[in-house]
Amino acid sequence: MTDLSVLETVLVIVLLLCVLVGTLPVINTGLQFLMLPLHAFRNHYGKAAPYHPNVAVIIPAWNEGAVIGPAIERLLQLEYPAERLRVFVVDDASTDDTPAIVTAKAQSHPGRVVHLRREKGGEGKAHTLNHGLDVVLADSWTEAVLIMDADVIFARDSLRKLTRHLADEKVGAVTAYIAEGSRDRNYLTRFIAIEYVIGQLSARRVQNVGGAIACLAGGAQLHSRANLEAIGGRIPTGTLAEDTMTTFEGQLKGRRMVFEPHAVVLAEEPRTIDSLWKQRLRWARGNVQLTSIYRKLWFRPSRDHNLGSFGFGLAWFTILLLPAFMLLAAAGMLALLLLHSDIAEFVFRFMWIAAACIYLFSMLYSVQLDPRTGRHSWREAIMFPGLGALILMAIALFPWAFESLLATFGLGLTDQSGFIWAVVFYLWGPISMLGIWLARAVEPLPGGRFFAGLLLYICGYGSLLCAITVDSYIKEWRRADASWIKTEKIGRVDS
Amino acid sequence: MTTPPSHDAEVEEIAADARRERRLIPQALLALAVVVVIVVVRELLLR
Repeated sequence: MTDLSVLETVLVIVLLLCVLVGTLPVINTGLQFLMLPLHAFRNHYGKAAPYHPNVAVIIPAWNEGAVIGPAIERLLQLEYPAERLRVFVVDDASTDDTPAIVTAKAQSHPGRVVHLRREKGGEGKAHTLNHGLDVVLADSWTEAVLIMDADVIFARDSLRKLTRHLADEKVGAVTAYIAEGSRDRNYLTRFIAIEYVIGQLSARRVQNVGGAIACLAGGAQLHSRANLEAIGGRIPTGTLAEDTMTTFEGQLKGRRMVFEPHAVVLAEEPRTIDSLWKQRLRWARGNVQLTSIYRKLWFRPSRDHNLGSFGFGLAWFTILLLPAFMLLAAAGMLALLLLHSDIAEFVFRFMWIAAACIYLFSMLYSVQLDPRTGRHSWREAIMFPGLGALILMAIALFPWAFESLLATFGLGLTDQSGFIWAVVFYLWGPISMLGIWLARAVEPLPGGRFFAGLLLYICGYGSLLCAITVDSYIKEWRRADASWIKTEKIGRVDS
Repeated sequence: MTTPPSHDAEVEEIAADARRERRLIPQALLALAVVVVIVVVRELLLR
């Protein structure tokens, strides 16, 4: 290793810091899974008790004819006192057979199923929910409100498992574990199933430990009446992430939110990259909007809530800025390569060995958290970072194996070929994001679904989420149309 | 079937779910053990 001048040393330190900051998402994932066992002791079960308040269920529905009937029937079969459960379907000016189905259910179950019709629809989910909230909160019978999606199917014990936490008056809302539940899964729904294990069974348990919940799942959130009244009795409009904003507002009013991992709700998830992209773009743009709305909240600890804690802020921004971190790390590595290749190689190995350890730990842990998902999606758990990243991990762990493999094919490493390989390796993050954009572009073409799937397995599911986040930056910067785009659901979840 | 279990059964169910959370610890240890084994194997191969 050659000696460095003072200027070069300073530059190397700055670049190393860039790489370190760029690896924050990996570090955050590691910390998340290391903190997860704490939920064994720091949870809300000690304050939970059998409790069956009068629950008004609100289902926003726009053209949900394929799924609304089974969803209502399943609700009526829940292990919950029949006289304490009423279902309100807010029909957002549907043009399919949703009104007919709901009207028939209302006639079959008088007083238990109510059809609320909005003649002017299309304003978005928050407006639809508020129509229902106006009705149910006007009735003193309502003690709690369950907000759910039309396509989800509740396990029979799930509502009970949610309401038991409301026995503690400090709890404002409880959310369930939304599991991917399609009976005919494809590669994408299996990736989503793994993502939900990581994002809910792991991340939300850790949020329970930290006392700050980022988002009550829009598909299954149970609010106490007091919590809804504290936030004005309405779901905030004007953002694409109304469920996250509702979660924040409740906590800012000093109420605790709880994630209940044993209340399971099955949901149908997008089956194509394009439909997943549209759904996640809405979520990502909503998060960008909320980051700005709550700009005075981040990293400012408060006695009233934990949303301003360092840990919560780190988790929030590592997701929001994931693409920026990825680009920062790649740029830092490339500059280090040009400045001092030995240091770059050392950092590369260190980074990817750490990533390999965190990946192995998190995936082995995840498949145990939900063995059912682990059984049907173990291939996607293995391939979650993508084949490209797995190869980089293998090279970092066993570099001599890579060199001997190249030699086998008569491609022994020279200075020039080593440099080219290094550039490809260090830029893998941005390259994989481009691969995902390509996957979305080829998907609608003949035979495109196969190549789109192949690209996803190579580039990784994380790169897909990263690419969507980049798109959300662009759309927000351009102030692109933020109209609500419904994710198509056709009833693939068994009731 | 919309009848919830008895009060005592629900209390026991809460206790059972709390006990299930304790499984997070051995699950973490198992995952950690596999990672440690792989790192140790790598170190042995490096020698």
